[in-house]
Amino acid sequence: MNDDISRMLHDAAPEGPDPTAWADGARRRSNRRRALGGVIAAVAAVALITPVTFSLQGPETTTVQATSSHSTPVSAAPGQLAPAECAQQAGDQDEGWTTDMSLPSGAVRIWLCAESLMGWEPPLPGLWVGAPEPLTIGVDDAIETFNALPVAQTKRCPAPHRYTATMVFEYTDGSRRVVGANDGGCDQVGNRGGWRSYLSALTDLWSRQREVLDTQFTREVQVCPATQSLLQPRPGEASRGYLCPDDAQTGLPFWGQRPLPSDVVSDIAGEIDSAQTRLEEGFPPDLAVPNLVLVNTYGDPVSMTRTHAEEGNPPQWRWGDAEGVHLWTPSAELSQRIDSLLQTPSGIPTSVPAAPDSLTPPACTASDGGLPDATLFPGHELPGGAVRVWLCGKELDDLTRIDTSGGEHDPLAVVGAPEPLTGLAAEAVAAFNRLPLWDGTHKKCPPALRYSAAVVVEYPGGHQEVLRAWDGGCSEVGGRTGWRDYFSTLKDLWGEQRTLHDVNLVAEVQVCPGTDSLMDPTPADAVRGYVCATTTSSADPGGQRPLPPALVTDITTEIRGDAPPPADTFPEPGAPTIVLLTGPGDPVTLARGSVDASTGTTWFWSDQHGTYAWTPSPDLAERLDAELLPE
Amino acid sequence: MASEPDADASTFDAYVLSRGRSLWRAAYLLTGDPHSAEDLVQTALSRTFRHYDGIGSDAAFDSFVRTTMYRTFCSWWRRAWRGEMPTESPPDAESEGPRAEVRLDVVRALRDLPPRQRAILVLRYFEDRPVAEVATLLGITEGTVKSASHKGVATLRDSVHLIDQEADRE
Repeated sequence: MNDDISRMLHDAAPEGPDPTAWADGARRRSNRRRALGGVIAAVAAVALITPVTFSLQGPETTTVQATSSHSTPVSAAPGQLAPAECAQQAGDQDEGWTTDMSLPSGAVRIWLCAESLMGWEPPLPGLWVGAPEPLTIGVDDAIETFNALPVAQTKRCPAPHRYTATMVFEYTDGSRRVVGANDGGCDQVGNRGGWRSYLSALTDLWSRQREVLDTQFTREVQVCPATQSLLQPRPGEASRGYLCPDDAQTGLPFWGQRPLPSDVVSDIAGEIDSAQTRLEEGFPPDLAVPNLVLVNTYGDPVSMTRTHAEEGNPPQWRWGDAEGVHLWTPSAELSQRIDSLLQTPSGIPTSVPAAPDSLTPPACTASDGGLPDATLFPGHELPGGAVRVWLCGKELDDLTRIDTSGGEHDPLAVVGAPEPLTGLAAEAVAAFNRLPLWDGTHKKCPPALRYSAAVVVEYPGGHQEVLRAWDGGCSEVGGRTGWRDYFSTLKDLWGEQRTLHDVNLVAEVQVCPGTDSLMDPTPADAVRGYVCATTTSSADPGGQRPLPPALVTDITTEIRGDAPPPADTFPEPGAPTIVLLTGPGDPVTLARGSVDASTGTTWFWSDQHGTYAWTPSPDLAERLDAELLPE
Repeated sequence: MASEPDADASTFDAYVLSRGRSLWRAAYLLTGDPHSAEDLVQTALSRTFRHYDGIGSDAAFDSFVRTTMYRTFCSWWRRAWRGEMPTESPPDAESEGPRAEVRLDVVRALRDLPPRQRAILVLRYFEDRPVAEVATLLGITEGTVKSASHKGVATLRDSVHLIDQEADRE
């Protein structure tokens, strides 16, 4: 039918240039793009955040002068420890690995960055960071030390265990050299052997610089659920600390980190410094909640994980460094104070702070009123460290409404969950990353019928990744297959969180003329409801009145007892509706069918699996009909 | 220089050699400009080449690259990054004579479409992808693909650039 359009487009596209050089160009461009992005981000962030002065003489001659204050000059985004330069460079390997590569002298700054391998190894891995500030004193020493390391004979290295590290050497002309390392066991850094000794040398250089400059890192940052510095600070030098509670124990979301009182921090530091800690062989422990994250004056965090308490013995705390795994048993008095803080409610409300009148959270709404667009490139994993996950739903757009309902009426509005997943966000991320990649081929897939969905994953600092899915297609989500399984997992996680937190929606929300939820609520679980006014006035399409609580109770009691059967019909457009809401705020819309003198009045509702019919007792039917009458 | 050969380079290079022109042609229809087209292809390749080995097959990798290319194009539009401005003629238009003029008319007509609509038309009628696949690739619903496709075709048929072309032929 549109063959002419197809022919026209094919005629309009020229043959194209010779692509011979494009592969090399793509490699170079990838490295250049990251480097340029780092410079831009650094200039912008430094200008915004720190009191340094800078002169911009040209695109490649940006110079950052040392600050005269004693606060550490940082380029990290607010709330984050990692400098902006690291966001661009982390994960890069050095360009052009060769056995005879050496670093030229003359660098002016070195950034030490780390990238965590999130979500690949249970339990929850933590976020690794390098140094918040660049090395500017002793840069030549760092280069000489690197060049003196023995050259490795192979580029191949085992996969990293927990992190990859990146050193960014910045030169006066703005150029950068990037050297990578990881903890995978080959002990290489760039084309050299001896990563562990090199990291130790860098740690010493940073220490010397900090003594000279007397730098202080004073900003508040997100360190929960766990953050660990490559510079391996000692817990005994902590100047502040944070508690990352275990939501399974306390019912609190662990991303809601709580600062430790300063006297507790100093007592912890004092005890650890004076106590004999036990050392075990092996890798540093996996970073799992509950955690204490202690931060020294330079902004280096170390995360300590609480072990399960054995009967009669206080719990121990574990952390790792280059020596191995340390175990510390606090005094009974200090242990009790820490445990008491862990069990103290943080004041985080369990009632859902819904946006005024709306069941759809702001995170689920793009500027055009639709769901946010997908951001994750197919084949990529969701990074770890997520703090919140939103499940967003929306009815299908206009054309599909016409396709699926014959143009007769609009389908019900569809919403996701009103509250975000918090303490279990990491599990939602891990479950996505376990899904198989979409194979790149396309089979005949059913069309979407009812909803489209978005999963919005939020990270510290406000960064978001968005996955899109809908109830048709080949069950794809974010470049992977298995949306239906993933959706089911998400609903289970929400269910678990709701059990833990006793989540309740207390706000008045607009649900008429009809709203359904992706969460598949059943009317039997309703705690309140609205009757939707039947009106032909387009000026007031959503008029709603609360149903009497006793009526809602009776409805739920009857439905629970009746086990409503599946139905194969649904009331015509314009039928009277009531919308019931469960405690967490999931709506389900019931539409009244035609009145049958012999069997009574039947009400219908739908979920992901089908349509159900319920015939109330005559008394209840009469009370419902009375509510439907205009006021 | 003693350099360890990169075992992955040849296969990625071979992929680019075999599919590069095809990618560029689609990119040309999207951007309407040969330099922007090459820029778009290079951007997509630079964002994806690290995953070549992990994905395993050229067909799957090609799908990944194309998805990246189309989504990058749409994000360029959203961010107004490239400052897209219609040009009077592509650099090679004059040297190719009437054929280039026809091509330019089509490019002008495409440029009158919103970028996502343009991407949908190129996917549907240049790459011959089914509606469901276009929806998956762009991360939108099939309904949106159908709707945009319908509107885009209607706009193209009514485009003053193509009507002029028809008139010139007559």
